[in-house]
Order: sequence, then C-alpha cells, then structure tokens
Amino acid sequence: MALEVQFFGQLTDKTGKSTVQLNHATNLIQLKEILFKEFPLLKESKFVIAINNKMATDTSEIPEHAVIALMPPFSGG
Amino acid sequence: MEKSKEYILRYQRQIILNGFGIEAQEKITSAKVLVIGAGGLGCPILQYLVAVGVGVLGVVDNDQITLSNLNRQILFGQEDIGKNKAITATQKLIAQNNLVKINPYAQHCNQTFALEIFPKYDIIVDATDNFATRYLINDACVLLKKPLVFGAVSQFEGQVAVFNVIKNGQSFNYRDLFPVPPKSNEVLSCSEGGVLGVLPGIIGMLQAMEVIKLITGIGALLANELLTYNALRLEYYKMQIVQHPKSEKNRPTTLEAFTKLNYEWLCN
Repeated sequence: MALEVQFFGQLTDKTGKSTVQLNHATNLIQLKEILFKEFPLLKESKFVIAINNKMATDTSEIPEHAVIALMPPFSGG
Repeated sequence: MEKSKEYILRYQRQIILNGFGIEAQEKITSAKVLVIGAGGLGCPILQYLVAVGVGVLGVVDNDQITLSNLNRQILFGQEDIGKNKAITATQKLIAQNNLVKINPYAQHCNQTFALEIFPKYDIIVDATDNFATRYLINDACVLLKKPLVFGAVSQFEGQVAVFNVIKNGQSFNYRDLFPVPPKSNEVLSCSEGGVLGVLPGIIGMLQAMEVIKLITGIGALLANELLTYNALRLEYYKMQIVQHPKSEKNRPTTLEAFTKLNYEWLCN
C-alpha cells in the first residue's frame, strides 16, 4: 500500500519536491533506506519523522496509507 | 482593584471579549515576559505584547540595525541604522504604551545572562536567529523550569512551539525534537536563504498569541506540539511531540554542566 511522504523546510531543496508516494515500508529503518536511496542528499540532513502527525521513534510501526512528514530544524528569525 | 479610566479605555476592546474580561487583563498586567531577539520575529512579538499591556517586558539584543533588516524588522526605520536594536525598540515601544515597563538588555544572551535574568521573568520567548542561542535558551529554560515560546523561520516556512509547559501530565523541550544541533553549514540562515518580512511577522504574531494564552489560560495552548506554517501553500501542519530517547542524554542536567557547555562550538 502506498505511503505519502511530505518534506518540509530546506529538505525540499534536497529532494526537489514537497511530497513523494512510496510503496509501503513497515518501520523507520526501512523507510529511511528507501528515502536515502532515492534522495541521497537527505543522508546529510537532520530531521524528525512524524507518522500521521505524531513524532515517531525508531520502534514505531508504519500503518497502511500513513502520511509521513520529514521535519528539519529551522534557525532563522 | 480600582483601575484608572485610561487603563479601562486602552484595553476596553479586549476586556469586553467573551472569556477574557478584566480577569485576563489583570493577569496580563501582572505578567513579566522576556523576548530574546528584536529582529524579524521579535519586532511583531514586542509590538503586540506592548499593545496588549504585558506588565514587564524585557528586550534582549546586542545587534545593530542594518539597512537589510528593514524589510522585516518593522520597529525600525532608516534613521535607526547603526543603533542598538534593544535600546531602539524600547524607545519606540514606550511611545506605544507607557503603562508597560520595558527593560532593554543590549547584550548577547549567554549562560551568565540566562541564569541571572531568566528567573526575573515568567515566560521566555525565543525570537533569535541562530542555533547556538536557541539551544542555550532551551537548556536554560528546562533547568530553570521556565515556559518557553519558540519560533523560527526558514525561507517561506515557520515553526512555533510552547515548551516546558505541562499538558496531560507531560512536558517537552526543543531537544525532544532535535537532541543535537545541526552544524552551521547544514541549515541556511535568513541572510543566506532569504526571508520575506511577512513570514516572521506571522510566526511572531503566533508566538505573541501563545504568550497571551499562556498568561491568561484562555483557549488551547500549543503545548506538546510543533506547528509548521507554509506561507506559499497557506498550510498549517501540526506534529505531536513525544519524549526523544536522546533528549536527556544530550542536555546539560545541572547548572554547572550548563555553564561549561560551549554552545558556539557545538553549533559550528
């Protein structure tokens, strides 16, 4: 089942798009593997991952049709 | 308490709001808020907190006003170029509302400053523009148990959060989101990435509103969540924060450890 991944802030400069549809990944390790393969520049970036609007931890499972967000820190003011 | 006619008239439009009233106004008048950074975020925050009548307002900024600040730092004009931001902002804010006591701090927010000045205020507002100061402010607020209203921008997007406020038995801080600061070359600043003045204006006003909600208790506070606003798409995204397993490990947990930490080095 497809997942939607949304990129925020400067991450969109590294991926060239603000969203991407992916085949299902069951956990964050798998998800990062897929994302880093498609967008290698993401490897050098800091970000927090949210699954369906909730911050995920390394053990979080990804439900079907989940909306994933990759959120980097912002510093400007 | 008997209030002067001027006080009632000045705040009349907010006092008559349903669920606000004289009680909320009294809380605002008694509140002490420290705003760190009088730049793109700080200018609108300060103007609205002065307008609403916060009792004591601290303004911290060591920088001088430059021409390239004027597209977003709306307290300042051409004639202010070269002057200190905290002092100049204070002069303008006093003219706006002389019922508010304003303390300018024309200095950099370092550990000594945080430990000496933060305890004098009820709420700390992060309106800075760099990670070194943001992590320093966050860590100080956790140690001193001070509510922190955070705001930051990146090109056409902005983030807002309220840290160290207990909601549903839990409270979080910036290190729960990002336990370790990014390196300085990893994230663009406003001077590198650019910024349109309206964006920090909107984010600063969201911060000012959260300060007012925190003081008065009205509405639902943005605690335990990170809000991201995208100006180009006009979209808001909210993320529920959970405890990061590396948050505690990376944060100084004693005043001594905090004082010894080199934040500039950490973020470079």
